[in-house]
Amino acid sequence: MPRLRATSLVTAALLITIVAGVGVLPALAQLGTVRLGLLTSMTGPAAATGEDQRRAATLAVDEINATGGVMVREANARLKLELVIGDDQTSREGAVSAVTRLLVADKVALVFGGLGSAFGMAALPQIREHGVPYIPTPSTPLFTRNQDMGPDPTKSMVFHYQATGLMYGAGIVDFLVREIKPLMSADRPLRVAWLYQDSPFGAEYVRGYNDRVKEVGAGIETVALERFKVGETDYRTQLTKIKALTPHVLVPMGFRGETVAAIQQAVLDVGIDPKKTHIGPTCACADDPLYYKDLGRIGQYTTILSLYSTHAIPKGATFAKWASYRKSYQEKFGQLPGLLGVSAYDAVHVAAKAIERAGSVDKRKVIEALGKLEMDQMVLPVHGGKIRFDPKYREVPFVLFVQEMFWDEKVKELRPVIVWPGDLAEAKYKQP
Amino acid sequence: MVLDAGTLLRILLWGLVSGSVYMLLATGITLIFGVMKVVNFAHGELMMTGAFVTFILSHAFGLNPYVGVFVSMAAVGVLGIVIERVGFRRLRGTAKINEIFFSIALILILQNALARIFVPRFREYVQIKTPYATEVLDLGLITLRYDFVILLVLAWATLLGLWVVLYRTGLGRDVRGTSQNRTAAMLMGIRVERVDMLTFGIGAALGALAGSLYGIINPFGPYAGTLPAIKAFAVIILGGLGSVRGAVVGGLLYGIVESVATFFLGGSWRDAIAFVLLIVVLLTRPQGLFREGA
Amino acid sequence: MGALRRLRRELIVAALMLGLPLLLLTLVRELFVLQVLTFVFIFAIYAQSWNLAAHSGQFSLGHATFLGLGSYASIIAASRLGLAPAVALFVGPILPALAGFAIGALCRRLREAYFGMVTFGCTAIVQVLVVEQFGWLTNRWDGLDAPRLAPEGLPVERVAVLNYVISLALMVATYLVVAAIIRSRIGLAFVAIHDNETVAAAAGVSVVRYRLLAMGVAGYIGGVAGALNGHTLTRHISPGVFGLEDSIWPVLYSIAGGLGTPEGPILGTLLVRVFWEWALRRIGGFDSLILIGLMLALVVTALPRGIYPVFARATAALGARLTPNSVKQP
Repeated sequence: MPRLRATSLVTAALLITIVAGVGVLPALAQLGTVRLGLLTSMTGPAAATGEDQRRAATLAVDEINATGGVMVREANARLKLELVIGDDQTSREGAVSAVTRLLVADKVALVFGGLGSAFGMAALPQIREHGVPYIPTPSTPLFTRNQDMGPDPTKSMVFHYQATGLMYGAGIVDFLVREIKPLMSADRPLRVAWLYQDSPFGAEYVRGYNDRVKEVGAGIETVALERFKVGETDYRTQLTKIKALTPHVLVPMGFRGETVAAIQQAVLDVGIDPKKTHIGPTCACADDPLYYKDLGRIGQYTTILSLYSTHAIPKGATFAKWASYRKSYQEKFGQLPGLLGVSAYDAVHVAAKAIERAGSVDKRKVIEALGKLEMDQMVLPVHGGKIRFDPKYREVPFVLFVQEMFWDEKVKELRPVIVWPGDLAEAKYKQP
Repeated sequence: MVLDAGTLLRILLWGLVSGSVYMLLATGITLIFGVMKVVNFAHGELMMTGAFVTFILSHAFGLNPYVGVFVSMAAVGVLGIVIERVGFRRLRGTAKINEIFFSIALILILQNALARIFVPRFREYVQIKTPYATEVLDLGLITLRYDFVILLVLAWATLLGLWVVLYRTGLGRDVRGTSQNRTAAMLMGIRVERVDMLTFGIGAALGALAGSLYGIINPFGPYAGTLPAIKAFAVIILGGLGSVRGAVVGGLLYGIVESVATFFLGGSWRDAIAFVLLIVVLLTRPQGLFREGA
Repeated sequence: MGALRRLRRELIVAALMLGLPLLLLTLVRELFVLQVLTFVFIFAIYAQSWNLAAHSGQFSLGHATFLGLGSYASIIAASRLGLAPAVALFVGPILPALAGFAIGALCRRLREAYFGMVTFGCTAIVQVLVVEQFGWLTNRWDGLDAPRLAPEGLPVERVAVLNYVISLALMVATYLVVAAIIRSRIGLAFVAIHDNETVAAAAGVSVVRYRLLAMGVAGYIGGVAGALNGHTLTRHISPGVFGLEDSIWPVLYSIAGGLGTPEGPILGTLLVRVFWEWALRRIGGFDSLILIGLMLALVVTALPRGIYPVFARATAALGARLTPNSVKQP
């Protein structure tokens, strides 16, 4: 009897594993295409932004394929690009699972994209194991650096196409010191309070901010570093504490919805007066059509530190590309694009260019090509107008700018004006 | 730091407001548990369903959210009844852990159904806009948004209504009876299946109200209900499983404790506070603060 | 030994459980299938750990504590103390075992819902502690990279096969250990406590001691799963592990498979996980998750005792028909 049950158990288990194996087998590779893997969040709380990336990437792939594809010398032909999506389900486990599938089942030539720093990092060990070129778009600098922020040679296949939290943090300090301090506390230190997301994403901003404050010397006094967990939307208690500390500046840092809630709660519920306390600069990821719509009138005079803006762009070389991208996206999808989408769009073009320069889809050759790459900036503005991954950290020196919000009665929404840095500013910062 | 009267008042106020939401959640869960002895972890998703219904009524049809709330309560109440009949009733008599399994399945279904409908159009968060969103009441020390006042009034009025139902109607008597002793209730001729159904519906409706009120003062998404519901569970264990009084007092107290603790310990401890409290209390009184029973 | 004789059936099952996937290994070269099954093996160990605690009536809703602490301890032992990952794999889980004792002691008078909530709360508290109080050791929210279990220099394909085989071996070993425990006097004591504590105590069973034992062993086994996962599949650990999801998996897998048997969690993990992967891949997006929820709801309402008992009955009936000379089941 035990033998029978065992045999049957065995037979069934065998059948199941075979069926399972067949069921999850990947589709055969489409011959003659170059597969690019977009690793982002298609389900879970970050799904909306993942969708933005998917759309933007599709736009880029279609654009390139419309010209016949990418010229691959080794194959002696123009090969079309094929976009494969890996859904990290807004979780670390999902990221590991998705990237494994992309690398092992779909056998993509390159992985790019992402919006959650934590999830992109979770995929990193697999990327390193397989030695596949990776162009991540979340902001954490840890993609190419080690814990102490030094260069990490084991991550030589990673090319970071996004402004890092360090850059943002430093940008915040520079703006506050140059523009806000002279107006609000010229002869005393500027009292700054943070309300930020308790996550690797938030931690990096604060690290960049702290590092820059140390460099700049006296002038800034950080009076509060209040935190909230990701997903939390009630900050009234933390804001009450901040109000009791009477800061000159409140920097609310988080995703778009969190930032809107923080500002509304600060002004309406806790009674922080925007005339006495400057609110901002908020995170670039908040720069999104819904931000302007949801924040409302109370968002007047707040500032946002952007890399890509929904409604304003530094005049110059990127203007044409920005306008055309915006138009295509809006025509095709009926919505305005966001920062993460643009990053994915640019990343596809960067990947295509690298493959072309390498003349091959071989991992090592593409990585080499990315290391030596020099191409005109795409939609995101870069210092010097050329996209180049610096040899030490393989990061790109993006241009960051600060916008101030004003109420536009015509459209009944906030509209931004670039107020910093000097060479890009449309106007000087106006105190309320 | 200036710890003045205004600050203290505010901390208490936030605690009162979030406590009122917890109170409604906890009452719904404890009612269901008292009558059916069922643990439904998907209560947070019912809460969010209620919030989204109110949102849609306001956003698409312009219905004043404070009216839409009642429609939402009815709709989610019906949903609750369906869930009870199709799911929990079938699991009666099987291992208790199956209910948890079923609620996990429910969470998957409800969360992702809501996400499917809302995320493509509305992205991560929405918030229910009321006509009084920016109107404030100036009380000298602090300013109070009208919405907060209405929230408190609605929450307490509903509880009062619930009290009336529980203690002044036949249905209420049946509910209390079934909650205290199911067998005796059956012997007394109470149709316990009907009581089960209606109690689940009422519990779900209370969850919908909690969600709608929450959604008026906070941005929310399909995933926002899980944590408040879990905290509400901790609250009812503290207050005594099945005890409505315990749920009301516990929910309110917890809201205030959470607010105070967040102020002094920082945002990182906000979610863990419920459980520290729970462990501390259960170590001394393993049966909770109040006795079981309505 | 008497124990081995008692376990004859389980040993046969174990041999087959070991043999079949190895056979599969020779037939299937698709790396992706190996990765999915490695995940199944590791999480079957995790589910098995939960199942053991459940056997003693302790339905933990915070099992992620063990998974996470096992990962952290093993990774820290390997990277900071220089232990070889293969050794750290078995040393690290001592921490969650101790945690199991502590939690068991904390909750010794709690039942059912109370027990579940407190265990859940423990996970939330452990997360805050790992991030805040122990942040200097654990790198706060960034987490730690895990050294590879497989030796350096091995190509990716070989590593995958090695991970597959090691995880399989550990899963089978865990199966035998748990089966042995369940079949022993300890297992009987567990069942007695689960059934009726008062009666068990009256019969001389030290309720507290056995509850603690169950949680401690479950903690160790869960920790092994966590350590294994860290050194093979994810190669990283971060505080996210102490979230809700990882506490739900073992509950899902064990109940779907069938509580109370050592085979149940393994079957449950295999079926649920494979179905999940298939749905996510073939359908994708929110729809796949809704479908999974519906399937799970269907499974529990149609098969409240899990899939394994039905499966066992069906295959036993099949077996009876195939060999008419066998002894009929009592």
